[in-house]
Amino acid sequence: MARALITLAVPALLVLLAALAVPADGGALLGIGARTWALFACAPLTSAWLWWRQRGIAA
Amino acid sequence: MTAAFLAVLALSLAIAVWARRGAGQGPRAYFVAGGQLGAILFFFLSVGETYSIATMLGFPGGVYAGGEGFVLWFFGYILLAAPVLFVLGPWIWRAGQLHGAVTIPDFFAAHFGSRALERVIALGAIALLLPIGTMQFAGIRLVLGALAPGVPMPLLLAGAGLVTLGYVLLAGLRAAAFVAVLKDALMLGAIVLVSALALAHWPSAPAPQVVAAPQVPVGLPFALSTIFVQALGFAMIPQNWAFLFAARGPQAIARAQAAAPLYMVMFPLLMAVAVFARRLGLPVAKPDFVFLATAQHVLPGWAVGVVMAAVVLAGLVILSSVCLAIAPLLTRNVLPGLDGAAQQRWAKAVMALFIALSAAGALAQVPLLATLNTVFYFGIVQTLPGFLAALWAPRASAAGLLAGLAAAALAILAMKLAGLGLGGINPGLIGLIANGAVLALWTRARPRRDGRSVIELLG
Repeated sequence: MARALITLAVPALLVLLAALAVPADGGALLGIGARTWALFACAPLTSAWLWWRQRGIAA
Repeated sequence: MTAAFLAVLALSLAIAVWARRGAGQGPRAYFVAGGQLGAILFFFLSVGETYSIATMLGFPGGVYAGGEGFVLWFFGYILLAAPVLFVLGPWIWRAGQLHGAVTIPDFFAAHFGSRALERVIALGAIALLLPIGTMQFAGIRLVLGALAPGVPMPLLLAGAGLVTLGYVLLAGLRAAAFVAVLKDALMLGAIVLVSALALAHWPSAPAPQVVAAPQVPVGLPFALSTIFVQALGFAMIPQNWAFLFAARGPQAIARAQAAAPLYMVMFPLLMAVAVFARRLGLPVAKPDFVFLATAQHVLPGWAVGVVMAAVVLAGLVILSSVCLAIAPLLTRNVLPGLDGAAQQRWAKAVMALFIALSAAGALAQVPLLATLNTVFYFGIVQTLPGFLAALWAPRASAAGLLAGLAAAALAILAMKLAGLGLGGINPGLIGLIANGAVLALWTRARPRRDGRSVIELLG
């Protein structure tokens, strides 16, 4: 149960950080704002986190 | 353009024929591929399913029309669905194995020993899935209308329906899985190619007549509560359970979900395409056509045909998997007592009817569609408290689950009828809280004496 909650909490915190901590008017690249880029960056980080967590799951 | 489009569809049918090789017999082989899909095929079926025609057309269309406001909840819920399925998927697979389930109601009926619960969940799921077919046809209609403007639309949609029926009749879920590989390869290729060409021809300054995208404000309470409800709801979608049951084991599920977020590279590329079209002042008849309009601008005709085929395949694969989810809900759970052969015979009739109704809905341009789509997730997530109770709470009963579902429905209906906004919070979350609270109270007041949780049963 605790393992499951930690697995869920880290990506949720990443999304929250991107949504709340990055200013909406923090510049833009290719017409896409910094907050949205921060959100997009959560995807590879979540993938790396889940890849690390899946090592213990039996076939 | 048309020849390239037809060649891709013909290739997809050839793949469906090829998928028949090695397929077993019986409902389990047909509806959940006999539980034999390895990590790669499961990835394409399950993760690829995330990227429907709505993603390819609707996401850039939304950015083009409304700016970045909706990106947080749209991207956020798809991203967080991966860890949710990473955690719950292996347990859903084990619970299905334990009770030999093919559908969600199969599991609930076997675990709680209740036909009433089975029927309520099956009928609710069917009602919620019906608009999904119409939405796919609505997207397909947009593409086919541009591809062959001189051909009557009913004929074009009938053709699309026949191809879908071809997939499911040829090899059931195996066909959907194999065609999903082609669809994803073409879709990813199309997005990378169109966005790369857009970046290569990026206008240094916006066209003079272009104004910035109107920013449609999306409140944080709505965005965050919607992410929460929809990410959790993703784990309870009937066809996602079929995909999970089709996987070879928990490790295949976990690996596919760990890789799933990498697939989201498509979103910044799709967003760049929408921004490119806006800066260029590209004429777009409807916002949802912005990706295809950009493809027409940067690609030669035959390549546009391939891109259109990729978009249509995205709709057809989803349609086929929804067909394969609805049919057993009706033939196994609502009308029980049919043997294996009769189930498959009835299932084929149900799937043909579903396709015909969905195409008719798209032709009629059902005005309620957008509302029904928002209802989908906050309805579908309501079986989650019951599933968690089955996992961990041996004293939870079928009556408690039914009471929880009724409380959720009442809470959502009351909010809608009274026009209560509750600060923009997604009504599905209020329903989920009511559902969980009533289930907990009922379990405490009237506990099941002879029950055992899934975790206890698995030892």
